[in-house]
Amino acid sequence: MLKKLCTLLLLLSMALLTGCGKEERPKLIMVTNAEFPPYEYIHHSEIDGIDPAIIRRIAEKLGYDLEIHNMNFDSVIAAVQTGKGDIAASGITVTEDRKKKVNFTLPYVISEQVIIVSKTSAITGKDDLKKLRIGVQHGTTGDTYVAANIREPERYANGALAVAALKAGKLDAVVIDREPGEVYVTRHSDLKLMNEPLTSEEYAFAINKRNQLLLKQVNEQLKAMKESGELSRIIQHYRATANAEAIKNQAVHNGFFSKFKESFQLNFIKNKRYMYLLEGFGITLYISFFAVIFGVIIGFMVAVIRATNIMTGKLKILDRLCRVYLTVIRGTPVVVQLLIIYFVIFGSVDIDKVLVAVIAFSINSGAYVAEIIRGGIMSIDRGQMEAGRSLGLSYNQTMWEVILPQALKNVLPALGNEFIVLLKETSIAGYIALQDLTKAGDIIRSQTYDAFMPLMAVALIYLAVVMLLSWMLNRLERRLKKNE
Amino acid sequence: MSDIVFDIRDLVKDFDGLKAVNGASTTIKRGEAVFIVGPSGSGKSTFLRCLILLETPDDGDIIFDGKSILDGRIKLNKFRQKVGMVFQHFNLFPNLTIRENITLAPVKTRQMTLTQAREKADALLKRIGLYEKRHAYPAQLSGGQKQRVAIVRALAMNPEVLLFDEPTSALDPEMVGEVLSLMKELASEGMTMVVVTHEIGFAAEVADRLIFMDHGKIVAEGPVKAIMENPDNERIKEFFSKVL
Ligand SMILES: Nc1ncnc2c1ncn2[C@@H]1O[C@H](COP(=O)(O)OP(=O)(O)O)[C@@H](O)[C@H]1O
Ligand SMILES: [Mg+2]
Repeated sequence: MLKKLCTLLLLLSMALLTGCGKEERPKLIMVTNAEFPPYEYIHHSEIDGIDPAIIRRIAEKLGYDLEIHNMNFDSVIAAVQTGKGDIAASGITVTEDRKKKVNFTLPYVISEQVIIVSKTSAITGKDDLKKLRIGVQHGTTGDTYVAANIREPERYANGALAVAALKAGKLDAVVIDREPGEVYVTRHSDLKLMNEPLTSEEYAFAINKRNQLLLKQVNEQLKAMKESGELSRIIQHYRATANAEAIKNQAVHNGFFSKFKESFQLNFIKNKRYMYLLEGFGITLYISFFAVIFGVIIGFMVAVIRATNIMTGKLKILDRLCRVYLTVIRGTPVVVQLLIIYFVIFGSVDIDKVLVAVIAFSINSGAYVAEIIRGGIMSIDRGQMEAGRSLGLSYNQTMWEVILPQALKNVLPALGNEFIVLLKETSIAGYIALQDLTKAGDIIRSQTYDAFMPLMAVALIYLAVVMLLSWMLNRLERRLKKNE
Repeated sequence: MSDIVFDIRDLVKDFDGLKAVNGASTTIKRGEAVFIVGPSGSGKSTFLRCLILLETPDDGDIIFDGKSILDGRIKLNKFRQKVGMVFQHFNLFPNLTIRENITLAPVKTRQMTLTQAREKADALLKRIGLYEKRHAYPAQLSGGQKQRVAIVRALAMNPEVLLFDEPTSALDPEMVGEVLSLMKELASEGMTMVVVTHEIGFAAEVADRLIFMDHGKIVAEGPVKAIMENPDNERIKEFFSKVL
């Protein structure tokens, strides 16, 4: 509420400043996980699908400016809870657990969870599933239902990955929503869908518990759209499009090369999909570059504080703080740090996600850099400091002119290694819905239902950058060695 | 300036119960070359390091130029600019060239401008015949060359006194001579020096006074000949019989 007020004030003041009389409308932020066709997916860099279409229509009628934020499915409900989004529309099934966290609108779809198996499978119904390997998309109703009623499933980040695992023989069955399930079996002729649904469920939109007004508005619009038949028209339209697309993409199997070429065309050339990789690569480089710079600055300061405390006994309090920082950062996974910084620390601030990632990775990398540099400082012979001090140089002067240049040179290989690790670690940026290189692969996969090509492309790009970095570091090291 | 550079009174340095220096008293006069000898572990290095406060004494007092350096009122860095130290392992700065090693301290402590410091460094390097090496790095020098550079690095600060802690112990035998002859030159020019060494022959030649230390105490002090020829103590006799 406060946020909306602030936005309004900001817009108002901007309007006043520019003096243009253009009427500004309030913003409505929809959060979704655009990897769930036909409900939501990315098409020509735009998020499209059943959910965006319905919400767009409602926003239009209510006079909101719609903004759609893409993120992981596990984050969608949390985003509404913390106020990062106003409405979650992501093919969300209504469950008792979720009802405790958010309010649901009227259902707009009754969906079913179905079972996909290989064409040759002997499975005939859900009773056969008990002892088998079942794949689901993490955080979906299928996940919850299978876990509660059948057995622990294997959880994948999205449905395409689960289907790829099924095709690779790593799973015996995949439990998934009926619509995407139908798309998958159309696309992959070696798969079939069991007609009897595992369970059926209702899809609805989720809204923050405190926002009763929006709930009422959306429900009224939904009711009207149902009565006018507009709702089912939208849903039918997208289902038909998805099926047509799947049929078009159906692979014609003849020979490895033409298969490869066809798949290459589909994954990278068609619809300019290579743009996802290019843009994602840009984001990955951007985050890595700035995180390295700030990480080194943080690490450098922490290392000097720690080394000074060890050598002289001074800076006790700062040293304590640094040790807490090192313990916490090195003792927790970077994914968790990223999520905490995004959802908790900047939970109620409207801040650029790239900036959040730079901050999180800088803080994380700083801890490792600090310990590397501290090791470098401690490895310098004590006699160097004594020689500096005996000449009348101060501690700081000796540190700066004599110790640090030697220490940095000694730890250069370790630092270079840390940068390489950092570059690869940024691949988790997708957790806060950043479209980095890894996420770009996910997006392509969610459109083409092909796991191999996008993953290989992503892997090759990372590999190329890492090899280039290693080569540059080697050259730098050799040049510095010349002075010895 | 007074005649006495260091007046050391009942100096004690305690390393967790081990008294490395245990009540040593002596004076170092201006222009004097004082040599300290004694068995290994007798506290010679610790004594010397106390004089430039690389170790903080636990008891006693050190008067430098008439003022105590232990009452907490001196400016430590200013004091150390007046006392030079030469280490067993040279401790040149490997990240700097030979000339930068020499100019770093005079420039950073604002004793000289960079140009002045370079002039001074060049003159000192010419004196020891290493002017051609001024842009080389320490790793490119022999041990004897390194130690001579370390000596002129200390000299560049125009110290009142130079401390040497076994300056030739880490050198190959053929390089000892060049370092000793530079030290001898300095002594003959009237440089105040305190030298810890095992080179008894060199001490006999150069020292104005010899100090013999054992178990952290000064057990004999006086002209070299007198101590060597009339050792009034079994430990001294034993020591000289071993090193000669
Ligand atoms: N930093 C230190 N910590 C603990 N003990 C030390 C330290 N420095 C020297 N000592 C001890 O003090 C004694 C005297 O050492 P030192 O002054 O180096 O003797 P010398 O130079 O005559 O060989 C030795 O027993 C040595 O082990
Ligand atoms: Mg010693």
